[in-house]
Amino acid sequence: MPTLAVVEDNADNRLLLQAILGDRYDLVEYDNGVDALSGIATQRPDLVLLDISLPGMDGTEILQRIRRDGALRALPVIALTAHAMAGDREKFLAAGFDDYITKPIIDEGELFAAIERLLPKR
Amino acid sequence: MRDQAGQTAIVDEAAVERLKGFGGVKLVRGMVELFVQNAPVRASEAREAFDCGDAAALRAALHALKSSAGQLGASSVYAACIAGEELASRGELGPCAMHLQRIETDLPLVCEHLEHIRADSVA
Repeated sequence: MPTLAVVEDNADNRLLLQAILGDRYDLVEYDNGVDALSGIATQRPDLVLLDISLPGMDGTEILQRIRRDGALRALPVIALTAHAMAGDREKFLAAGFDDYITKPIIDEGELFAAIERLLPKR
Repeated sequence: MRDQAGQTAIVDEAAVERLKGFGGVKLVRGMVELFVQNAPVRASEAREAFDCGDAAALRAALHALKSSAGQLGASSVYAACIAGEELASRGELGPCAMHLQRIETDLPLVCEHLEHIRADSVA
């Protein structure tokens, strides 16, 4: 079963993602950037779901650190964000995210499609 | 979303049904418990930030409340968070007052309604 790292500070969003994704993927949860970077480096997931608005180190900075790390550079990273402003998709893709999912999550199919598109072929 | 009396529903039942589809009543109970526990704290943080003139803290508190409210279908709270967060991100604190007031008025009603939903799901 593929392993997904979920980096999300809101407990209710982690609970939701576990409910939606838990049957198909092993989820490893982090509620802050420092723990996430440490955990991802030692227990490399197949894909990262990364909240943008985290306290302290935000999602964009975490992504930049992942992309600067030779061992993690190619890791697929999907932005999870409650931002919903025009141009956000382009902004986050330009920043180096592989895809972008908005919260609240309305369509679980959209989430599954993004994950399956980016997971390494098995 | 309007109810049978033509009033704007305090919680959009379709959102709750969607959550049931994602993870059954267990997920709804868990989400409601976390919301009822955390949302009033976020609202208090937003009020404190507003009173202190701290736009960044206000934006952060409203942002955190926003996604939870949206996921549970607390439509008026969600809309007020969106509007307030956008204003706070531009440093426009004054107009945030009406959105904060909306949150403070509606959030107790939302929590009460969600508690009923949670109780019904246990029964």
